[in-house]
Amino acid sequence: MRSFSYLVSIFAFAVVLSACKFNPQGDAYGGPSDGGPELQDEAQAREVFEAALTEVEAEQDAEAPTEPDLSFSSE
Amino acid sequence: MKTLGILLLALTVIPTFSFAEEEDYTCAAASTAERYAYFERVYYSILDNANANDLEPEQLVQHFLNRLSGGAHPYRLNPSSLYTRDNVPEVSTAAIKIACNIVTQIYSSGSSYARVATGGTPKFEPAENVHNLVLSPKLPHLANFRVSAIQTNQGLLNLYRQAHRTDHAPAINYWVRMAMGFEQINYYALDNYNLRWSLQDFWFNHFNVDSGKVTLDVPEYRRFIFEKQFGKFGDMLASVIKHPAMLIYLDNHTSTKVIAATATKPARGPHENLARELMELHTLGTGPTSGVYTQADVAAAAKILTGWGVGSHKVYTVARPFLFYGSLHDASNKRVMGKTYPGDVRTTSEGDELLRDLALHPSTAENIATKLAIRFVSENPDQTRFLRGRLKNIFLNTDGNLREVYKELFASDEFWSNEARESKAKRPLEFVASVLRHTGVSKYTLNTALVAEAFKTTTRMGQELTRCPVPTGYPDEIEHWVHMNNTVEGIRFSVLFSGQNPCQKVGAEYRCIDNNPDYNDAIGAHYQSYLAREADAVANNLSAMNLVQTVFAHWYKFHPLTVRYRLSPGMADVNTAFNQPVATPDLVGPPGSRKKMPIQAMAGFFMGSKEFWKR
Repeated sequence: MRSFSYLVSIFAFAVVLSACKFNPQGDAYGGPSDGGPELQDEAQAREVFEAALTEVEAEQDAEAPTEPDLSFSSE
Repeated sequence: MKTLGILLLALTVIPTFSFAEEEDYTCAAASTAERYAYFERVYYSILDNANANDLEPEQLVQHFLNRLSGGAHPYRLNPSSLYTRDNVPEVSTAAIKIACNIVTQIYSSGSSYARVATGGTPKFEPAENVHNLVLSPKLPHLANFRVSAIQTNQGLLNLYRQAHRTDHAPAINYWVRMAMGFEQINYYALDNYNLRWSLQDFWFNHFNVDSGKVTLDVPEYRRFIFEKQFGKFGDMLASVIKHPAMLIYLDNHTSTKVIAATATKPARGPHENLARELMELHTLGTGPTSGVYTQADVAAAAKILTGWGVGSHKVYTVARPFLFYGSLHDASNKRVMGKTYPGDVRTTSEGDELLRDLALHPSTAENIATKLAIRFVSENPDQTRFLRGRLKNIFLNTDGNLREVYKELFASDEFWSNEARESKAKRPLEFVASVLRHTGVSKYTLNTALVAEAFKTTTRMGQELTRCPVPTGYPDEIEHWVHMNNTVEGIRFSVLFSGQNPCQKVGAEYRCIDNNPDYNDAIGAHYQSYLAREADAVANNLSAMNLVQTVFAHWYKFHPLTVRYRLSPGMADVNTAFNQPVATPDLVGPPGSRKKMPIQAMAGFFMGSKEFWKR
């Protein structure tokens, strides 16, 4: 009986874990996405939009100045 | 109960294919009626063409491996160990083994990366973990966990550690690009079931993005392609077009309805890049002057894709998401190729419908059929006219089911025809992988220093992995890849790698580093005879031998200081950073000496020859 209780507890714990699994992307690439209610408001959407653009541009500007060393230590 | 009994009985007698006269050879993969039928079709296609052209088993295997993988391997000349110590196989045996391998690859591929790291392939980090790692430098516990999962490639482990130590975006960008290239080279060199990597390369090239412009999103992008390449074309198209890597690469992340400038923000409007390449390259395959569509259709499609943008890494710490900015989307009704798409600012329904329509358009089917035929069969359109027609019909009749298209491709007479054999050239990735395989690498001996050299070599040859700057992707035709500069580079690389051969001659026999008894003595001897055979073939081909001698004379006279890596036209700007001299392997000693040429040099000459570039 005690083993059975343990089993039930483990199962319940697994179910709770699965339900709480954090997935910030959701179904972003697969199906329709409205991106959240804030993107329906033009002023708010523009803020998010420009912030993302700035971030992309910063990444594109950050190129390696020289070719990195390709030699590796053999740990 | 009786029904259940019958069902159980039926399940136990699902046939496993076996030739009565060849009891040693069975094909477990042909375990259903559909798979058995396909197996039989491939088998007879191979056999018929081999008999008609009087081909040897080696030629069949060579063709199969060259088109579907990184090429032959001395101990595993084919994935089903067709070559054994004392058995010279018959054509029919080779056909069975090859057909079975194709059935296996067609029906078991197409899931996640997690299923790939089995069966003797290196246990590489999935691309999404590459992504997670470099984006989570502030989560050392996560990094440690992931790093500990890398079991076989110490160098990649070092790579990650360096990226974390630097906390420097440029370095991280570079490491991510290298990690992707390393992964690709490793799988090409070591995976016995290589079709999935060949197809990933094909589709990444078809939906090309330049990791020099958008780096951190590309590993996940490649994984998406990998996981959808055996499904419906429309599903892959939707995933790819909505992915941040593609949106950023073709500037759609800046595309909005017409918005006037304000005091603090610039004016915005539709950007046509993605819409144009979507129609011209990804789907319809023709330009706006072809009569299939017009420039006005491109402009309307661009409006449909307005507001399709990306979110911030800082907000979504794991991966940059696709976001639909409904309030920045053009709300008007649009008309593309005669069909009206009603404006919708709440969801992506307009764009989704446009992608579905484009995915199933007859021109798209023709475009995909043509590109697959060129990539895997022949560059001569006359040779593949009927094949392309069949592929197109299958594509349209199955709603773009790519698995069905591949099935026709690899069972076709055209694929196994004599005209198709050796009619194509290896691209640099395939070249370095085939050198690695010919020199006998195994998962025990392929270390990161070797892969790094292979990575640099593909770059010098004009194919920097994941970094093709133009949306068309790298070209497929022979003339772009087989020319003097790449032949010189090929010899250098081949000689270098032949010196890394894990098998060493001890007394009269060969010993191998991993000391696997299966690899010793007889296998080593087989490798030796294999090389001797190939060297004879080169010696008998005067033009090839002359080429080798000429190239070697140039190479030795000027290397390493004056031979520069002039690259294929149009690609030089991508590769200037790699224009560095490299050490010369000590093969022939100082000028005037009579040092004996080792077998490695012979192997290097063979693999650097024009013959070896044939695919």
